Amino acid sequence: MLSNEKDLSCFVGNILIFIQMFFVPKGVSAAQPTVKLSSVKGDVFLKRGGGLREFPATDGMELVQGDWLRTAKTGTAKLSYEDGTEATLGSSSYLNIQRLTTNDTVGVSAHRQARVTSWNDGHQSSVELWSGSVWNKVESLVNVDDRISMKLRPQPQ
Amino acid sequence: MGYETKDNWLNGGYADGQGVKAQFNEPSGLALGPNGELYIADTGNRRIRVLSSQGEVTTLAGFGTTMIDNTSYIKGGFKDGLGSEARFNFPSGIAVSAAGTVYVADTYNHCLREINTEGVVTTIAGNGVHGKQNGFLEQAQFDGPFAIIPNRDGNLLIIDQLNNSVRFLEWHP
Repeated sequence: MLSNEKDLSCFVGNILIFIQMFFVPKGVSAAQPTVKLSSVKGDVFLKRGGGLREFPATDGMELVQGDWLRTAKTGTAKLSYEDGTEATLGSSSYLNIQRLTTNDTVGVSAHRQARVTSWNDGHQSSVELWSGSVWNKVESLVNVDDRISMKLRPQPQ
Repeated sequence: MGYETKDNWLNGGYADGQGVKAQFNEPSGLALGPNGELYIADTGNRRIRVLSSQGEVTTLAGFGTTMIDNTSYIKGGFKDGLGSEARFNFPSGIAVSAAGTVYVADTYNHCLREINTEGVVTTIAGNGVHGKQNGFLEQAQFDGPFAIIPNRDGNLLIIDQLNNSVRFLEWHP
């Protein structure tokens, strides 16, 4: 029995939450993946393709698998997908593009330590947030077979 | 030698050749072959290179010439086949068996690759989707495998970096 708010918070924080929602698309072609940076403000840096060098991020940069995106205390940026989906990366965040196979990623979620994963037409694209925050806005959902999966990891105590 | 400096950063390059004429691009893995040659995971070039005992650097596997915008890194890809046509995405860890088979931790393809002594690249474990799944080779999932080493019995130990794990692959080629 959960007796107070702290217990409830602890309980929720230690459960792996899996939410799956089913939406709409089928027959959506798997085009080349395209995710670009936009609304880059303040100090935002990008390691490209897993490489060691960190570049200043600028609007219009196209992200590739293996990129690491970092925002400083004053930095924010948006990830803009071709289908209109946007994810806003908050300040003091660190994000890895782990897989990028289609252009029509639908990101969902999250807060600190969230893994954002989505599928479309049998393909998967995902980013993992190592620290900081990200907000996602889904602009377009195509048809009922679209699936969005959101996994939140509990915070280390 | 011959590397360019840009914005105070020494950019890598790609060139085969003798000794200092050769260029690399943020190499991150090194393994000694049975005949004294050195195998190098040339990460930024998405290639596997070989340095012979005579000092000649050649490309064993990996292809691709398209650069990531405004960088010196070649874009990654995935393709099995002849070494000259195969594609890697951030190959980082490398190991060589006593028989001369080369194993590669192909980090951002989230899989393990093998280059046989004929120079043909195949995928031996990992289905390309990042995750953490044990099981048969086609079911196994990794998340950024970064290093690989065979043990005494020829099985493979893998640093599965983003899973914070060491994985074990029973391997009897």
